[in-house]
Amino acid sequence: MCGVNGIVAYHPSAPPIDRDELLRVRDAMRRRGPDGKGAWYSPDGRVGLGHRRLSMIDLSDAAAQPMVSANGRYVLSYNGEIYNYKTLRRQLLESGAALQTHSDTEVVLELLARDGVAALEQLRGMFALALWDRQERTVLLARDPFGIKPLYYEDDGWTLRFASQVRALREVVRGTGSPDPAGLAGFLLLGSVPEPHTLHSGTWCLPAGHYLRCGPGGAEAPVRWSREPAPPATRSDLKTALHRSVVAHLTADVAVGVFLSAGIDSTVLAALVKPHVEQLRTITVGFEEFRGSPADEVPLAAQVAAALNSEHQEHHYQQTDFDRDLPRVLEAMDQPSIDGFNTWIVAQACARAGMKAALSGAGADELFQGYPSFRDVPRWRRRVAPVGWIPGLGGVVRRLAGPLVEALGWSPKAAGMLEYGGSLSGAWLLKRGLFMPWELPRLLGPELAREGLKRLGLESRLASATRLAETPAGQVAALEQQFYLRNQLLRDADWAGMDHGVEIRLPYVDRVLQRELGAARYTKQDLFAVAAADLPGALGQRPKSGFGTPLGRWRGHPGPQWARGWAADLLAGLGPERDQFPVRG
Amino acid sequence: MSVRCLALMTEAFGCRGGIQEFNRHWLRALAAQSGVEVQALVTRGEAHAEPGLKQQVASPGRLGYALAARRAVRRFAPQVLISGHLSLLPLVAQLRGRSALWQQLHGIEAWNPPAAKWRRYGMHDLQLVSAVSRYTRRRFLDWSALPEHRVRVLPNTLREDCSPASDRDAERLDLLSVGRLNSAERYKGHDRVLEALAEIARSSPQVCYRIAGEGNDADRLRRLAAELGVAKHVEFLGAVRRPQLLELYRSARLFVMPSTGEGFGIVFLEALACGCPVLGLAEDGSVDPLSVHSGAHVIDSSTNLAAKIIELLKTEAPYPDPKEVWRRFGPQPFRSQVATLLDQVLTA
Repeated sequence: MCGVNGIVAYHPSAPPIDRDELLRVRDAMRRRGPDGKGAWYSPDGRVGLGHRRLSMIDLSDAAAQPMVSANGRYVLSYNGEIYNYKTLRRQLLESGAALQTHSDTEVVLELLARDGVAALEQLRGMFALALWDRQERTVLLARDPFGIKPLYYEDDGWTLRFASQVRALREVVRGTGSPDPAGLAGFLLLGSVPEPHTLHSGTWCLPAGHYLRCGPGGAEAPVRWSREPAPPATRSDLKTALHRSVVAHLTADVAVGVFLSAGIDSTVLAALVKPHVEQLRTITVGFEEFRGSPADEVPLAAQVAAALNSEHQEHHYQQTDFDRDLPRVLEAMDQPSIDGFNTWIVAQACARAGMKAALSGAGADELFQGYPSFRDVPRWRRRVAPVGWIPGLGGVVRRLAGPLVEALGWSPKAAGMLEYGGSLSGAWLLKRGLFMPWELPRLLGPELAREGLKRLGLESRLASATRLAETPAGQVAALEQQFYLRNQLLRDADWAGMDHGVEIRLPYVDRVLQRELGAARYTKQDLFAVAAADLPGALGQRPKSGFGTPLGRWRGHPGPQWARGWAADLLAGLGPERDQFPVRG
Repeated sequence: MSVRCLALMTEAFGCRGGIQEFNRHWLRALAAQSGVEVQALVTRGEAHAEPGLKQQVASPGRLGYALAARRAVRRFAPQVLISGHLSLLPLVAQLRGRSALWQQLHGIEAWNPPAAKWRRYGMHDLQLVSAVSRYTRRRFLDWSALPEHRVRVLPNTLREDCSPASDRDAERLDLLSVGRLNSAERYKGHDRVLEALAEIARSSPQVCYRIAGEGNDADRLRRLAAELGVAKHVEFLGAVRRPQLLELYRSARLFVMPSTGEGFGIVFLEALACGCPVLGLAEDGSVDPLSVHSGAHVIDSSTNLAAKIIELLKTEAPYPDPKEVWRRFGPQPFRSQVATLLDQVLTA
């Protein structure tokens, strides 16, 4: 887990790269890699790669990056963890490769040198990488299939620049340029910026499971390398598959802890980890404002920890901590996200407890139908579809019902039930959306809203996301994975963990596991059953709560619509860039 | 296998001007590629032929040009159909058949969306757009929303006759601007230099601001110079021939053009290649030629122009190194970029 960046002056008219710029961008990501830093420059001054290191596997200097391949042709700057690297390393050695280190970096490098982009299919884990081919004078950028590790790029027509963080990438051009209308509209609709957009015009997120080449002609269109997993022919044994994923995610030369809440996902995770470590270490966050209420996760988590004989730590957080930490959080949040503060707090607790890596239960709700959306979205569609097809009716009802909905203090989204609820993707947007499309002209002005919605093409993207799923639950799972998990939870896990130098690992977000299980075939009760014998029975009866924080209360945005106020706070907290995003209240 | 490229352009051989010169370089660079045959159809100019390249002049009028273009497409059956100006795109797109489309953007015409929607016809059929500068590319991308990988940069290049003076006069104090003096092109910034001149003259009484170029705004600028009391420091040279222009570059102490509307600003490159330091604003396509490391000075519009010019006149600023200019903007990198783009349009 690290930070990567680079500059490639591919156009013959481009000046040689600015080494100071490379180092400034690299060191703007120092929190991602406190253990080391490196830079590589091509002899002709046209290419530079940077790297900040957070060492997890092979802690020696031999594994430092950027790393040059054995044949001298390739140079790699890579961020991530490859959990099957030992198997791949053995295969490489058998095929005659001479490896100098015990790092996964060298395995990735030599695999790419041998197999090209086909090597990406062999990697189990999370990664974002840049590989410079000195012979072809081409850089390859690639990301893991789920998009756990981020990678952003800009191609100004002369020079390609890329980095693990948008804010680092914009270190040298901060405050200039124009907003990406689609990124802005996407944030307001979904609460996070959907890839491939960012908030900045010309700055792109390489989509999950894609690679991009940049040669003498400039950056080409991203190409999808990750195939959609085929539905499994037969069900794997759930417990075995989960154990295998957990074991893989424990691969490290440092201790790996577990984020423990009072929910099924993390408690089952802790129970699965226990047999594979000498001493289970868990950590829980509690909020003073929740103390004694059903939302307080601390007591039940403590019971779980006791049952698992874990070395358990509780981290208590309150308003005064929030007031102190808010500026740092706003600075660390790479792109605005309404849902990452909780992860930041638990990563902070981890860092204070001396943990460098921790497993998180994120991704289980998508896999085991944990969200209320799995129940509500198909139900809404069933009820609304019989009348929702009538052209124009939904819009008329929404306009007429809007004032009434407002007067009743309901969510403004309720007015759009007839307009959106008739399709699964529309109903999902109603359920998950922050603001709705009809609200954007008020927030952004009509022109920016129109352009943003047009370029975002959200409705067609939502519909496209569901095309391979056969059941309503599978369709909701696809939407949750491709939008909420990818653009929000995974982004949050990255920036929040990295701000504390903590690597957050996600055993439920694993290609092999998902290939074995298929999406939305199991439920949370199936998951609980895997470890029920080791866990307190009360867990199985506890209603789904999510990892909530009293953020709305802290920021003075009471009520269920607190996230809307928080979204505006986030845009206002973008520092020197904020004037570019004039969102009206 | 030969590749046939048909370029539909306004003007190229036989006409003066920046776009025309760019088009000549472009056509020659295409024809210089192995196995490439190039034909150009222009609205004005003269018939022209050289190895691998032919220019024909269409009959006058829009209809005449459209009919001639249609005939040329049918007879030549090009694999690549080039639109030399954004205003020609609807016609080019209409005639495209199976040809790949390549559009060149020269500058200000591509900065904002055309008012009439029909003028955008064919935009999304373009396999390749090449913009003269990064700034022009960005402005075009902002409104066109075309995928970025289809919009590249093909910058201006230099004529081989640009070279520095063999001996330099360190005492020279001439400021120089080169450009059309048209009321529609006041963005070039002659007014700003004139307004700064009184202050500059107080610091350097011998200073002379030479303005090369003609146009319908020249009289107004003369009056402005008089009103500002700097007329004796200004010399309006009118239109100058190429050899004289090169001498002006070579003898000037500083080329100054605080323009805000350049698609690229070839005059900056020419001045640099002739060994003259340059000063411009970082607010348009000029950013690209002004990115040359030695001899190019950039300010933003809030900077005091007079103070900056005084500073540069007083300092023994190093003369530009023309090698960098040629290495980045000479014919060789231009041809190499044309080859890369041709390859891209053929494989799109």
